[in-house]
Amino acid sequence: MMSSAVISGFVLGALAPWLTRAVGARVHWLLAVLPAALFAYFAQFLPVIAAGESVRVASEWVPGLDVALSFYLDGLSLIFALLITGIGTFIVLYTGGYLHGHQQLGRFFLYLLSFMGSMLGLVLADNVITLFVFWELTSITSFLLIGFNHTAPRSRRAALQALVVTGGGGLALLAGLLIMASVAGTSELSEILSNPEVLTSSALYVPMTILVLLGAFSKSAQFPLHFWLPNAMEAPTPVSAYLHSSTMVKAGVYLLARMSPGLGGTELWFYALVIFGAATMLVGGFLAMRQSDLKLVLAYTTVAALGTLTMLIGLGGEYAFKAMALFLITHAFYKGGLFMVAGSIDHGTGTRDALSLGGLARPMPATFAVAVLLGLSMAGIVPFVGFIAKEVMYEATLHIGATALILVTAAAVLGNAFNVVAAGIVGLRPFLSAHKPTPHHPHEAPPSMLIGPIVLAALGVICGVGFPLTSEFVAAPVMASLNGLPVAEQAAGLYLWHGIKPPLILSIVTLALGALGFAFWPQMRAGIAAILKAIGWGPDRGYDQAVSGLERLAYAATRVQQTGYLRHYLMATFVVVAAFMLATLFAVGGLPTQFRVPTVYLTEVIALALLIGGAVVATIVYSRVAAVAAIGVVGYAVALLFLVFSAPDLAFTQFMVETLTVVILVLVLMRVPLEVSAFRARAGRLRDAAIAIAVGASISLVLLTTVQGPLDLRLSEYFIENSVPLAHGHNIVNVILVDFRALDTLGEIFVVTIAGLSCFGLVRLALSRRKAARAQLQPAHRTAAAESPGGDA
Amino acid sequence: MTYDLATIAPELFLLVSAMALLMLGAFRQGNPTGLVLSLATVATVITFVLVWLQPTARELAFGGLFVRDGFGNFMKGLILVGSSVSLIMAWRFIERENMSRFEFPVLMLFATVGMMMMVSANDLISLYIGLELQSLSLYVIAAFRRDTLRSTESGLKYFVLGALSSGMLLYGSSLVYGFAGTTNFNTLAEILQQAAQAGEAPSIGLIVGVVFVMAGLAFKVGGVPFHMWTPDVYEGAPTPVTAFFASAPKIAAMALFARVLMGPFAELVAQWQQVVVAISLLSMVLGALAAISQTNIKRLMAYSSIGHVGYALIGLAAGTEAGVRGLAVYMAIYLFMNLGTFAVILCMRQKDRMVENIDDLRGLSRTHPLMALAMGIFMFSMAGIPPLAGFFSKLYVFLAAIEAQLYTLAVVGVLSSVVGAFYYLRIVKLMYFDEPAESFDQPFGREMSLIMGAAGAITLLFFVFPSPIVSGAEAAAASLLAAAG
Amino acid sequence: MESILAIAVGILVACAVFLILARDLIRIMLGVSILSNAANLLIFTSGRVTRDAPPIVPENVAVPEGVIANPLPQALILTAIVIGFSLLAFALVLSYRAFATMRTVDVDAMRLAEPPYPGQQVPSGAAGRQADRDPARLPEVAE
Repeated sequence: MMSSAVISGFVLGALAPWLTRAVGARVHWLLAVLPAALFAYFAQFLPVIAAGESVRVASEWVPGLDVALSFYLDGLSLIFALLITGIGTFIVLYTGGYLHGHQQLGRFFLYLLSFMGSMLGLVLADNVITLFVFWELTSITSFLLIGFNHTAPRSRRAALQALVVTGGGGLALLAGLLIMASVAGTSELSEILSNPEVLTSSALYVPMTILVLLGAFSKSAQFPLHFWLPNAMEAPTPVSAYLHSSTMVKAGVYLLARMSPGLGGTELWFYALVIFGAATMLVGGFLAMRQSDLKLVLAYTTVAALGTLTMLIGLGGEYAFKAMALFLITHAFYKGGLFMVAGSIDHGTGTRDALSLGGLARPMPATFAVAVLLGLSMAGIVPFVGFIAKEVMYEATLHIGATALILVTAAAVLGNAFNVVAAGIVGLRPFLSAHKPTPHHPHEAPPSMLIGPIVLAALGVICGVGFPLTSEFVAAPVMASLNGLPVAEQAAGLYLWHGIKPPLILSIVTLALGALGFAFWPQMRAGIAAILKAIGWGPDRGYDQAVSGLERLAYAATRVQQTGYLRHYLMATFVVVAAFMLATLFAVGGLPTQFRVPTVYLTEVIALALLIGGAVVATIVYSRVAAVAAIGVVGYAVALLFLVFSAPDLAFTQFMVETLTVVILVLVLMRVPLEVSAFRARAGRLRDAAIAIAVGASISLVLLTTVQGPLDLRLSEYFIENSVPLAHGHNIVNVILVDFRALDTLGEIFVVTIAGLSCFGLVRLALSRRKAARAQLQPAHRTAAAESPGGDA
Repeated sequence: MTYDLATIAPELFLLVSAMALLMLGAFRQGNPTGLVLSLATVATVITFVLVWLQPTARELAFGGLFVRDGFGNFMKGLILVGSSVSLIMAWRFIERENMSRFEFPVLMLFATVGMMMMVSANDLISLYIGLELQSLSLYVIAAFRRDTLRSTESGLKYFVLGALSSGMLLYGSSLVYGFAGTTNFNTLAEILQQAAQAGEAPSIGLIVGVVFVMAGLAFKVGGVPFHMWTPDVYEGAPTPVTAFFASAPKIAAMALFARVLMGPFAELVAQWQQVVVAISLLSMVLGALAAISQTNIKRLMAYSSIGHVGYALIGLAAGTEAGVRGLAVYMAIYLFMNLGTFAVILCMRQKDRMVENIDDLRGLSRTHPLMALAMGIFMFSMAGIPPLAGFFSKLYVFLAAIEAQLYTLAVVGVLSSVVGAFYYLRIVKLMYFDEPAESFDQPFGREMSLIMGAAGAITLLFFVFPSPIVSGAEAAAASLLAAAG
Repeated sequence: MESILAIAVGILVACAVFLILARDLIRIMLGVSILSNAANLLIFTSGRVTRDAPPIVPENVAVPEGVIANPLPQALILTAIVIGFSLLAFALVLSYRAFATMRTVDVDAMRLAEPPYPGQQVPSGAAGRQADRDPARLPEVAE
């Protein structure tokens, strides 16, 4: 059932283009039934999970690899599944209004629903490979959705950038997960994480943690890998609201939370998450203040929120985990809602630049109302669940030790203050500031675009007021997933008011700072812009530099090894071979230990002298005729050696073959220039000679060592003994060829056949072309011949 | 002897067909190329069936020169798929590009026989002969093209480098023979095992010999630093030939690599593992890097194939049964992705001539949506993005590497996948997001759509039905290892 | 005796390598020819050599008495000689065709498939007459 829940998104997605054509403009009401039904399906697990149980289903998938299609439902994955399907329902409805009449609406729904399926698969997967597969699927669907407006070059770049960063991080994650599975001996997450000591005590703990963090940080846009997320705002607003605020970007957070009981609890984990989380929170908030595009303001605060969540997971402990659970849902509510509001403003006015918007409270009253509610939730005012989340967060930062306490608490206050400002910029300013003219005459959003923000705003209040239920059904189960303890043991108690304690004071400070910031926002914006201009560099430019650096490296690599000169390729091959042989000779040792000068007969001396003399002459003369003659001498000398050393068959064959070789050589020589005209310079000759001597010498040395040892002659003796009895042949060599190694001889015959065939073919090809060329291009050809080095032979 | 002939029935059939077609081509009036080509395709299909029908039990023939086993059958099946699909791709191409020469299909058949002999070789010299049979045919095929200058040049470069590598293989075999007194794989394995049990360190001649054999094979698979011929030959050769080069011979040489290293030289794993790791690392990194700077799609595919060889070699480097299984899965999936991609490249024709620039694919999703979808699937898969087949092939080899504790190899593999993903995805971006270039000529021919569709379906749906390929590869690996152990 | 042959093989290989690294295609092919002779001699030496005892079983005897030359490498070399010859014949025809189409035997001038990069120099070792013709400008004789 759970796998059908995951797959259903893909199935409906595949049908969506067709349904869109068949049903027409109202198709979103039909398509939204699926996420709504899935929400209901998952909601029924709430009591089960809150009672401390978990659900796991598995089926065989890839044979032999321990990859099962297994799903696991606990507090963490349930909350994510509910967010994905719940918000998904409203996003589908919203899309129907936002992209009303768009030509490729069907394709958009295909991508969107496939994304929903992938995201569900990601949070439910129990098998690491299954998890990774869905992880990358979310990256791909995100790529397609960001690039949906592919006429804009910016959105093409943003799409590819997001895919490279998150997909690349995903591969690092894969490496981490595989190592983890190999250390734990199983690839089921629920089993891996139940044995944390195995992981943390492993020698590979550090690399595997770093790889997993790399995956999570890239996906959840942690500083300095955050730059892709604001660029991804090129996507249509429903995508920003869904993928890039409430679900996909939280996949990294999900992963960290999931791994927390297994990999957490170490110094590496604590410092990496807290430092990067806090830095992301501050950088995100800071950069948000610089923006005036509503979507970008929200995008940067999303970066900040992801940093906050990461930091909370890293801090660990009762309060931090509780804060993380609450902040997770509250952020999904208000951020998803505010994105939809921003989209509605854009839709209604034709712009989303905060500086050119104003006085929208009158023409868009419903949007205004929800925007205020969502803004209050974001700012963390009583009685919204955002308030509780903030209180618990301060509780958490106040509970860590010594020096870090002040730093982290200050960071949290500052981060939350930025949030308050941003809430004002998006939730209040466009509606309440003085009226400004906009490209369109402002109009209220249609119901399909309002229903989502309204419900999400309401949920922010309901979860706050109904905090005992939130505590029981959200906080406790999520905390159980984070610290690996039973649900019943969680101290998940919440409160809306518990007196004037330090957290409340911090809350008040936060609000005051935020109000101040909002009042002086234009000045702050100018200041930040000046600072950024002074720095003049950011990770986004860094990405471009990395890409162009990679390209330069690629060109350099190609140039160095693919020069186009055959001689370079040959040289490289010989150098590698010689280097390898010499290295082995010196490393392994085994140089020839003795060298006995053997008795050499006169015939042998003559043969050897001819052999070496011929080779040397062939090497040094530049007359082709002399060289061919020398080659002939080498061949005959080899034949002579065969004859002397008891191989008459070889000798005769060699004589014949050598004669033929010389004949063919002469035939070819008759057609090419007789003198060599392309020489190497002296330096080149010396270098080549050095390579040649290195290769030759090492071959000699290796061979000398080899022939020193005894030879296992069993096989030869077998042939000698069985030649007559088995094959009735007295010439043992012949017997071996035609009887014992018949297959080789057969193959050899075919090699000769092919050689003949191809020579014939090539000669025929060349001849026919020359004939044709002579006939047609007589004048041109003659000029060509006159210019060629040796004339036309 | 009759029993021996049954063992080599597929090879024999193909060889006889090739001879018969040669006769047919030589003595038939008019232009026999079309007929010879069709019959050659039929011959490869029948041979495929014959291989399919062969029992998987290990069996030696011809005095131990030839071995038939599950591993060989699996690899031969892949080779024959590569050959027959390449031949099908040549149907229209040959007429259109005025390449009507009947020698061409005949030589492809000879090359295929050579590959099958290589895969089943159980002796260093038989291996050498199979290799030469294959190589010689390939040298000629590479030089066949209307654009004479280019193809002669690439054929020449290929030949000189190839002859050198065959030479190295022969030198290596001789050195091994000089040490062991035999070239037979089984005897070699026994002798080395005895030496290892007696505690003797392997002699230098033996090590150098094995490395020479490996260098020869590395050339044939196109692994760095013996890869320089690939871009030239891929670009210079006619496209169906390039498709053939990128598929069948690579699989054959890879199979041979596995058989030689896991069989006779299994005892020397400590020595050869380092070399395989080095070739694998260099190939992955260089394949990924150099591909980025290419503008010609065939050259791009050359570097891509270098990279893929690197990944496949990870499996071999592991030196375990899981590793060989990974290698077999990798090559199978690589075959389908590759053939599909080349089918797309063959359809890249504007105004009746082939275009080969990557930029010509711009906006393909709007001019030819299905073709773009197929190409997109191949590119995503080659980039190793799940849930496409290419991801699983990488997964198999990475897992094998991690099990064998070759962490560096796995991590470098992952990193170069990121770089590799960059250029594969750029093609997807080009096809889906960029403004359309000139549309390609229609029609492509039904057989092209069929090849693209089938390859695309296999690549896309592998994750739903992985078992046919995976269990085949598993059995193949088991049979190879059973013989060695 | 094997040691002397081993040194001879090394010298042959060195000569062959030097020739193969030449710019002139014909010299490269001569190098290939020497290399294949060296390979045959290498197998021969690896199998150890024996004087005056060809591997032939006398008539009416089933198993020869006394030491005779190792027959196995001889069989292997016979195969290798024939294959080497086939390759060489093909190589020479290919060179001829290369000359016929490109009108040059200078391998440095064979750059059509991989045109020079901007600013790329001819390799340091090149001298003598430059590539006599730029093949890129060559009229398509073949068409």
